[in-house]
Amino acid sequence: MVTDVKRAMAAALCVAALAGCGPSTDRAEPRGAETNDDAPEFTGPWAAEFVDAYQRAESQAHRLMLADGEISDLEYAAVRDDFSRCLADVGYSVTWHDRGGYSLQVGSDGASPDHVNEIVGDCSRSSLGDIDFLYEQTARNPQNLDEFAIMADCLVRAGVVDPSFTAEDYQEWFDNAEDEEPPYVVPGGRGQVAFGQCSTDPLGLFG
Amino acid sequence: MTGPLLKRLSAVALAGSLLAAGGAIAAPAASAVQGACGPIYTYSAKNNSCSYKIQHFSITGGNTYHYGTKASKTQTSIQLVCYPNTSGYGVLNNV
Repeated sequence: MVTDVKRAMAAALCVAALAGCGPSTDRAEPRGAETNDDAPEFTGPWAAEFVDAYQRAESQAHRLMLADGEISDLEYAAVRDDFSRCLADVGYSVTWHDRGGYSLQVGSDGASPDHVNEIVGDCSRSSLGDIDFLYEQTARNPQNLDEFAIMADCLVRAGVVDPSFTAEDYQEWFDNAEDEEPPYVVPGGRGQVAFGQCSTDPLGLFG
Repeated sequence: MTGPLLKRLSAVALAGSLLAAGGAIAAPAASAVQGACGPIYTYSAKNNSCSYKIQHFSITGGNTYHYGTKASKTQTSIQLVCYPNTSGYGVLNNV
């Protein structure tokens, strides 16, 4: 399994070299020095998250993926494949959803939610680590802008909340456990659909 | 089940069936369940307080689990697909 990941990483490096990729201004670029926990000293908007992920990583393969301060498409695909294999080993079948998340067939009705989630959690930590999350987060919000601000702005742009809706309003809603949904001004499920779109692409970067 | 294990696992709400029509989800029948990191709803969960990530899940048909987006602190884990006849839901912690 680790060999597979290394092959994927090697392939990613080859692709990057062939493409003549230069450093991105948004990447959490490592410099030479290392922290007390042997993490590279990352810089850039996502540096703190990369340091945390590096320190939490359960495998050297994941540390290698993180060390250059960015997650490639191939590395993202590799950890997802690894996760699917981890669950396939216990007879579970994963279906990934294009817009985010996945469904899992666990085979029998007898498994308890805690049992299923114990297995999923273990596979998630060992196979995905923080790789998938960092890949998705750095893509949706490259500058690591304030979450409340970008979500509020997105919901306003989508026309599902009042135009005066601010980051402070969003935080007020977020901190209120009683309300599952922000104060939508549109009927039906339009607000919910917009919330999903904003969650995955708050800055409208994916077209 | 061990203590540490419990901490990592889900707060599971075995809710009644929910309604869905034309892709729009009807008003949730259940109120929020308070999880370790924040409130858990039928189709979403807020991460108000945990430094680790959470992931909402829903159960349909007894043997199909649907896991939503991962959410760090200040984010909401949501299901991006509408699943009718949800028999249970909860949150996977520390993913």
